[in-house]
Amino acid sequence: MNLLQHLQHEQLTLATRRHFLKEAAFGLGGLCLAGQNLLGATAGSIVKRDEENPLNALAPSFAPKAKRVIFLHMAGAPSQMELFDYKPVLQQYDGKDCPQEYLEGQRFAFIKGVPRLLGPQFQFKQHGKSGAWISDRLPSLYKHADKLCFIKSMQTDQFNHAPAKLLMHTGNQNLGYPSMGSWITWGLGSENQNLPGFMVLLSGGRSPRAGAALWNNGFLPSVYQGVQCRSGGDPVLNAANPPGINRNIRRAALDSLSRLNTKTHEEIGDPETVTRISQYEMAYRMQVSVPEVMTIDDEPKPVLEMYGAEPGKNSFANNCLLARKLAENGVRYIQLFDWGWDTHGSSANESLKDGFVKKCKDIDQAVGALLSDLEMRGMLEDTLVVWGGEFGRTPMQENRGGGAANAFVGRDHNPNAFTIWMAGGGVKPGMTYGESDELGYRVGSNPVHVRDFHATILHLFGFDHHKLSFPFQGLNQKLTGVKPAKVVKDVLA
Amino acid sequence: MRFPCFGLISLIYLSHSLNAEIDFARDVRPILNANCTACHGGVKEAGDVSFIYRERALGKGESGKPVIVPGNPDASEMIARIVSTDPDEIMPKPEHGPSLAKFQINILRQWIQEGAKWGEHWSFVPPHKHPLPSIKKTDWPVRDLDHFILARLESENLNPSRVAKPEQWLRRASFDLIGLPPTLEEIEAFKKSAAQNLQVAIEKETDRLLASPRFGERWASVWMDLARYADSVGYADDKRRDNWKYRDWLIDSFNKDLPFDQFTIEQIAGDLIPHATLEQKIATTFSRLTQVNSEGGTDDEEFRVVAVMDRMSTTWETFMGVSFGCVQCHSHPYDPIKHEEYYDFMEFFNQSKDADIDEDLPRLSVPMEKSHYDEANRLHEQIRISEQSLFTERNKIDSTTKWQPVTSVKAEAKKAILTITGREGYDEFQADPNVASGAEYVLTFPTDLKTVTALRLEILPLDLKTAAHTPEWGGIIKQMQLEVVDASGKATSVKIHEVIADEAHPMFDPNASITGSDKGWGTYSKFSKPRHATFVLDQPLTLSPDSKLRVSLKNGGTYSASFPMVVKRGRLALTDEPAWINHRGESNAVSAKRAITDARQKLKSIPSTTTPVMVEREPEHRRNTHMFIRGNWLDKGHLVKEGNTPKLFPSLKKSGERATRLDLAHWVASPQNPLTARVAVNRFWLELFGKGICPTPEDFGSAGEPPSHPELLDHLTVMFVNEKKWSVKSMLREIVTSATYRQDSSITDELEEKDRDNRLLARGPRQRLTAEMMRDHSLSASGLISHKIGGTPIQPPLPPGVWKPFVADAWKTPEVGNPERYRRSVYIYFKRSILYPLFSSFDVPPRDLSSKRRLVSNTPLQALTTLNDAAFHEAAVALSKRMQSADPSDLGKQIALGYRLATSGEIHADRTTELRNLHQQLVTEYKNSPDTMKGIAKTPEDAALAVIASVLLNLDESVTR
Repeated sequence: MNLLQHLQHEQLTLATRRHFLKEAAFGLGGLCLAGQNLLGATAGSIVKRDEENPLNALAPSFAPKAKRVIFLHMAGAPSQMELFDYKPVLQQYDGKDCPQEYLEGQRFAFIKGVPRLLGPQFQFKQHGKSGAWISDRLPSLYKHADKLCFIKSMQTDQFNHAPAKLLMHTGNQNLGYPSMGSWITWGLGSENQNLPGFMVLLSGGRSPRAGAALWNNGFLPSVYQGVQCRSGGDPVLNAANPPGINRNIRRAALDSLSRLNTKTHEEIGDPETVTRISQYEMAYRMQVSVPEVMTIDDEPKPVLEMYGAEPGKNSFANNCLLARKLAENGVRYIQLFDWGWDTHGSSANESLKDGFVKKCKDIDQAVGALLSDLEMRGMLEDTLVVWGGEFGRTPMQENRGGGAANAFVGRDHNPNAFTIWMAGGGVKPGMTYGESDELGYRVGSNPVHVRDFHATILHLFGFDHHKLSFPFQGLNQKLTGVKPAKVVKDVLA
Repeated sequence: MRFPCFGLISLIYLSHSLNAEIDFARDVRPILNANCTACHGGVKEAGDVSFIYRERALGKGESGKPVIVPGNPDASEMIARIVSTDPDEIMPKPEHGPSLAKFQINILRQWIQEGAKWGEHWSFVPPHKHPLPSIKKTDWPVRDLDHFILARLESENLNPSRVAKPEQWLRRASFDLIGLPPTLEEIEAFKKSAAQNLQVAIEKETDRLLASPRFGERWASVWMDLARYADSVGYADDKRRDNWKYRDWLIDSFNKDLPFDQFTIEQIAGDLIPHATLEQKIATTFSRLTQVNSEGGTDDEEFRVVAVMDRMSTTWETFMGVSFGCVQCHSHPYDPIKHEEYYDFMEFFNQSKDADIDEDLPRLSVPMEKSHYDEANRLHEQIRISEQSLFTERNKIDSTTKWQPVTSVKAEAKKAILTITGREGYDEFQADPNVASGAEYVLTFPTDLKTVTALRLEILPLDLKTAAHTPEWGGIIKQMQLEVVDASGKATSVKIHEVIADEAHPMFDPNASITGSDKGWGTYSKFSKPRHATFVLDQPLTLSPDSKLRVSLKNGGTYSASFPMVVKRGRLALTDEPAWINHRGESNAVSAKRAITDARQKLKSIPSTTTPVMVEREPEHRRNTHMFIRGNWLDKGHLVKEGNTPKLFPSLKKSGERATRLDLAHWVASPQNPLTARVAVNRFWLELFGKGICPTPEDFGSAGEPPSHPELLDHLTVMFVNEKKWSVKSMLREIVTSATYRQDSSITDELEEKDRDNRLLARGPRQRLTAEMMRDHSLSASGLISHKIGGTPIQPPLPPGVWKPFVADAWKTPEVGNPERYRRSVYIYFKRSILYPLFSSFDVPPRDLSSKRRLVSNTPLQALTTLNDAAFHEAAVALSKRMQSADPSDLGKQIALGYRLATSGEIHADRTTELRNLHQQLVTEYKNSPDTMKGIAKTPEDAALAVIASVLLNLDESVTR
């Protein structure tokens, strides 16, 4: 182990132990005293690990199928009925008043009174040997049909964007909980010591609602928070040296700073000082590694063309290509948010016939390219690609304010049933799990709650969701929370 | 296993509890909360069993068996189920969690045996004075509080640390109290006086710091997280909003040591204090710092309700440390607060005038200069009193006026279809549901009155019953015109003199409806009951029998959230009552109107800004507060009679017939409230030591963590209220001058092993600087800082690519050298949707909602900020120039000066050598590539020194206190 690795290791040990001690020793009851046998106190949870060597101890409980994730979140919630969840019955009822049984006791974000049903707006065909239904909005996916594993029976508890997004990414609708990326990087660490283990890329012109809370570390040590990369200015804020300072000067200054801080640590003994030393080193490495990996300027033309990426632009296509580069460089958790999928029909931009069509065009080629690219590089088998939104959309046309329908064609939020798909990383290819009811409004069979989805992803990374836990506020906190969650075994390869 | 600590608790309990009596709150409630209340609690009462209230727990469950039989564990179904081996019987159910451990069952058995006494959660029990615990090391304590700390340390066989070096103490106290490092002169002076008598010096220095105007800036920044202070409205548009007068009020209040109870009362209900000062009104901006949703398609009533609920939660969490939001939908899952009680409490906040409208009214106009506050307040009062007196006069006239309903109406309309329906003796007009913005109505009708003096327009909700609890979209009359039409069809315009609203203090001038304006009289934006305005004619209008009257109404447009502000249903009435016209000549009316005009004019001449404030609706326009079924604002339950506080706590004292928000404020700030003073004292402790005595300042309820030193927390709380009379400064002084606080912060191996987190305080606190301190420190060390106090938000340098506001909102950084660029961070423009990068890297919460503590992180992004950010770079260069002033020819002295400015300490020789070597290395580097120096210095030596300055500002001891 060189000094750097040593520091990194020590920092993790300290960070983990610090939190561990704090929470465990002064958790519920407040009577527990530090220095006692803490391991015994938490039998059954992840803290069975070797306290002195958290990285080793945190190796997954069983062989993981996935080593990294690329999570493509279509922020605003894409309509499953226009993409994957083909509903011929809904077509028959197009324009009819929605049956009362669907409305009773339901709350909607915008629908008022009795809305009308809205048939699928685009043509569907089955593709591949698996016969997956894919609409004509995403033609680049046709050839990947047999790689995809659809879950058409997803369910969430929340029907507003910010809480639903928080639930999808942190397992809790409230602010303050660690994101799945933080959990996984906490559990597994990063494969590249020069890059953060968890990186976030945004496109679509705006940040997703709830913003940075979606990639926050919550109560986990802050080294596990997602790092947002930017398209304007430095890819990571302040990654560039200020005027008058080059790399050599920075190195010399940091060497000195590190030696000075080491002295301070020898004198004061504050573990935070050790963490700080390693964070400065990490910052230094990020200054080079981030701009290097965060540029597509040097990518060969065919690659750029395959993705539809254009250097210098902020686009989902660029982000997909960047995601592949980050994955290649050992980033554990790569989170993309593409804003603009909230298709209510309240304006042209929010209409299925206009804005939605554009959004599909924005992503189609890039998603296809990403899958092809990962496959070509032999990375798809251990890279889990996830595509989806925070909830689904209603089979009814939205009628904001209680009239017949909005000015444009759109659908309201639907937490009761929605579709996501996964590919690679240990999921069964060419498979569809679960279905929605005839109208696509509720789950018809095999419901998969967001908690189950989380349990399944953790399983793919080699973790039992019951055991990947962290003590906080008197609870052994888990990504899947306190309600029962199950691994969807049927989708595992 | 859900609670990681049970194994440990068991050891402790087993050794102590078998002899001692079981304490419900300490021993039993945690077991219930961890294992039972998820299904048998405030949210769910599975099998009709709940463990929140004793009477319920002693009752029978669905099975008909008594759940708990006091004195008889064997007859208690609870125990039977817990010890059962039948998987269908056992509790908790296997799929819900593991069965209870033996020691837990023993506790429950013993507790039932002892009578199943219920006990209140620790924080709900009033604090009381405890005898000082006995200690061995009697010469250590300085303050009473030290006894509690020491006793605990001695029980753990730990020794307190030695006294910190004077400069360490001073740096710590200086940052903690004023958020800035001590100056070199202050350090020198303190070292000298500390050498003579340390404690005297500490006390003197503490007094100096508490008296500094910088004190208010530091503590305002603490309070701003709690108050969710921002300079923008939030949600999608997140437009700029002037709130900064409230920040000035905070700074001022801390500086003048406004007693904390008063500080609390003024923020919750300053507007209702009799003869409220302007400051007291400004204080209520606290409640108006809620978000405003001006996004299209959003319902103003829905987001008004969201804001009301946020005010409730913020009041509870900020002042009383109890989460209240969950009671919106169901009874509290852990604590004995009932679902209904939430809505009783809502009534207090449901009567303010604000309603999520884009104009964000009501806003108080506040003079820029404080010297004008009293005058402005007097003028506001003059307007209020005069408006009230006019309103009373006119009400009198109204009560004796015989209004003749208008009938036989012929209606025409543009952009709407009007239908006329006879109802209650009137011909009502009603528009079709798809009526568009700006619709115009023309209503022609006869009258048998010979003379007309006034006309009344009434606007009615379409559905009176529903509107009474869930208001409807209203309308605005942009212009109303009256004509008389003779038999030949010739129309003559009739002059309207004034429009009198049915409320004393309308938000928009109703008279604007005469001349035509964007907003005149109306029911903007939502309304819940019939409203009316009286249009008084300039002169009595004499009518010939065959003439008719014609009223033209121009409706409003789409102002707020894309809903047209159009009157959908209304009716007219006429009168010949001469008083409407005559009244205006009477001296009372004349002088009232003059007083209003005068006051408005004078107010206009005072340079002012505005701040959103709490203003109650007038009694006749009180809203109906209903319970929401399962928290759904559209699903209304019973009507709340009047505001009240949960039964769990001491009851509210009413000052009048109805409980008011001011009564509530007094209740919160009462010495009888078991939480408020505790939560405050805990917060002071948290700021000074980095951890609260209760480690969960956001939750003092039973889901939070119990205090590490419960008696100490009680002791300080009682002292704060009784002895210190709620004086924040005195309380801080008590802690800062203690032996506990003045300890050295070094961590020995023993302490690292036994108490790494320093909960027991065997050493002094060592905290990382907050985001605000981080920048203020670099400005201060470099000498750039500007100490102008108060005022509008500032916009220091910002990295490129960050500022992308959704609606136009310029970020204008003052040029280099302009003092506005170097003001303290508490003044940085705070936009909710785009956090200032320094803030987001250094743990400042987004302030969409109230935040009770910052979780301190340590990340590479922080390093990138302090190394590379333009503002920190500028500070480093400035510091290097200041260092040169030590002695232009002596690098050693320069380094020593820089080190002292950055860390408040004296540099050791080995560090000087390290930095000298670095300097040499850098000089060579710059000499080899002179181009690199651009933007930092002109000579290699100066450039190298600037880098040294940056290193100094990034030292571990520079970024900590």
